[in-house]
Amino acid sequence: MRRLAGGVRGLLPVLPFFLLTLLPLAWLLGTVSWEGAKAPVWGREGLLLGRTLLYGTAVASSAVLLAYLALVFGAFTPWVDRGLLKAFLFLALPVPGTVFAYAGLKALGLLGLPSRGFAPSWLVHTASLLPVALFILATGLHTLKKEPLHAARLLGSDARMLARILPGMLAPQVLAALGTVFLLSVGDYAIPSIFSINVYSLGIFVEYSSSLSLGSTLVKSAPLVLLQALVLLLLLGRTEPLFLTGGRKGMLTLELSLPGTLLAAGGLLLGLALLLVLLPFLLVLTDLAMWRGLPQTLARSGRDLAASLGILFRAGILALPVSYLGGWWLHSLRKGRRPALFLVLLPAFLPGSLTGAALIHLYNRPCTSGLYDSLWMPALAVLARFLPLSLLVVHASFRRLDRELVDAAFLLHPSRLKAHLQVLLPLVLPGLALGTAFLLLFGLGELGATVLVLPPGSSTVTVRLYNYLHYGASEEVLGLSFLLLAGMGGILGAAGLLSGLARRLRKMD
Amino acid sequence: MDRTNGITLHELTKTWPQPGGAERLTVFSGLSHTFPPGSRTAIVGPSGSGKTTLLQMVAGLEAPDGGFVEAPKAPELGYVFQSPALWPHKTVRSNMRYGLGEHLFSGADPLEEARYRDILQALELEDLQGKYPATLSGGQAKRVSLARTLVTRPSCLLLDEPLGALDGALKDRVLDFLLEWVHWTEATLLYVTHDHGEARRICTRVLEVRDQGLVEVG
Repeated sequence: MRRLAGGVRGLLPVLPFFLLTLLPLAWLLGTVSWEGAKAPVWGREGLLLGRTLLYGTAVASSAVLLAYLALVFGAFTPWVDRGLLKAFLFLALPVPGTVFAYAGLKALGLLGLPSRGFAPSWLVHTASLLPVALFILATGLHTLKKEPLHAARLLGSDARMLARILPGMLAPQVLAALGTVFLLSVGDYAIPSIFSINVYSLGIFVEYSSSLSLGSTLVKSAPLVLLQALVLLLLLGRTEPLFLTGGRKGMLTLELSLPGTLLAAGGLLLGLALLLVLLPFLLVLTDLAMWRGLPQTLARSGRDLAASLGILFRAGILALPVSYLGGWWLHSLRKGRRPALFLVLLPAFLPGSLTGAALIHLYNRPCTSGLYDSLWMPALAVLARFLPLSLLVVHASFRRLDRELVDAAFLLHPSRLKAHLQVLLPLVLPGLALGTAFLLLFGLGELGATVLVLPPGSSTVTVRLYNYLHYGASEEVLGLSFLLLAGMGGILGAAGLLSGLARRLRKMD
Repeated sequence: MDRTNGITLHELTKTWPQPGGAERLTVFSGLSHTFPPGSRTAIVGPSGSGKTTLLQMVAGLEAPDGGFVEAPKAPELGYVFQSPALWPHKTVRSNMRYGLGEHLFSGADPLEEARYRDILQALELEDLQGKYPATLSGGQAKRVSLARTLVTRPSCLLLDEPLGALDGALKDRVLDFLLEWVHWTEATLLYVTHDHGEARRICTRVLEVRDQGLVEVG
């Protein structure tokens, strides 16, 4: 009994996290009525699932391959400014798929290439998830030790080290990047649907929108969700330590001497990766410079912008304490890290439509009508999908603290609360700011769940942009894309300021 | 193969950044020294004094702030790091044979093959060939790391605490083999250690890193 009480007490810090992320789905699974649920047409569903998996595999392989080659070149040649590379990477990481879709449509149009079908969708989806692959691989480079690479350089050539030693040493990170990009690409329908590709996650959205039957939606979702859970489990089996690492400060850099052909090929690939990642910024900004209707479009989008900001404000306020507590819980966990990590990460990869439907099922009742008809619903959708990200960032901040420093905080402070508030919280504040910024940045582009839970008469910038992309209203699309990029810039700037302030305060202490 | 490679340090200066933006710490200032071909020199000194930095500058892995180093380049130069620095995805056998080149797999060079077998036996690694580094003890990993460098038969050998994780009789046996190997190959040896006894046993000169330079202590 005492052990049970201890176990429950141990779970308290992470309870808010699970209430916000997994409770809606658990509630849906436990209480859904199967009456009237349509039996799936397995042949058709299987075909669609197969096509979706093929699509996800193509996106993941191309994004990770390009990211790997570009990053190796960027990290290991003297004339690439790594600070600038990091800045680009950070800037592009949360650009919503809808903005990439706009840039893709524009670029394909300029080049006279077809803008419908598998190839353009694959290309644009690869570009939109390339920053994620780059980010994971760059984190991997942070954890590599220099000595084994130096040993290979001394025992053979630099090119041989790149071909035979580095890929093996980075294999867990490559696998993590492949898995993450795959899971993200199969769970998202925004880009494929804009390029007229039918994917399984779009099917889930269509199923719920047309039947409003939760049973049917669950049945429809089951194969994809089970597959995603399986991939996540396999991924964690091989790469668990990567998700739990604090990393080290400063990226691994080696200045290699490589043959001219390799240098040229690497430079070309890095250029291509940067071009793909920065295309949305380049196209939106060059178009804006030639367009005078921006103020009117921005004025028309004022309500959407206000709704988006309102949603993010609500999500941010809740995310701060929940991420801190969840990050601390994961950090202080002694046993069962892998299952814990599985439960923490799973919500981030679930199809947005399923999360949206689960939220509706949980909160659409008289006692929560005030919440249901407000912007809290899309805020809860953002939290349900992206809290895992902020929790992981906060957890990484805890991992980077000296163990003795944490122990000393609890030994010297009789109150655990005081130890947290006076010692640990200030120390992880930059990480908390960054984690929350990630949540807000990804939340700004959230579509799958938001589109289902928005209160009547409301829209967000992303939802409006998605709708206009289908109608082809190019000026509105441009204005909304600009708003999203500016919003991202604002969030990043605010996070940078907060993080800098936290560091300064820490030094003054 | 030219087996007469020595090492010369010319006016070496090296500084390290200090935390909090304080003035940089000078590790070496105007250090000049010659290690003649075939000489065996131990470098001793307290932790953080710059012993490893000196080896890294000799190997070209760390650039000095001033001055320069004349030393052979890889593969004539062999370096055993303080940590085993083994490649986790390769077996002991693959780790050891990496430096021998591709030709060994297509058509083994009998001389290299014999050298590989000798070193494997001398360092008592025969039973570990199929194992991965993660399954090795600290001492086993150190021996594999040493063996990986020795099989390439460098003419200039930099060893950074190579026997750190070994103890007792095994350490004595490895030290005996190393001494025999250095005698036989006439390699120039720079040997970093904390252990003065070990230093005197294998080297003819012992230098201590002191006052931003090297001082002879025995």
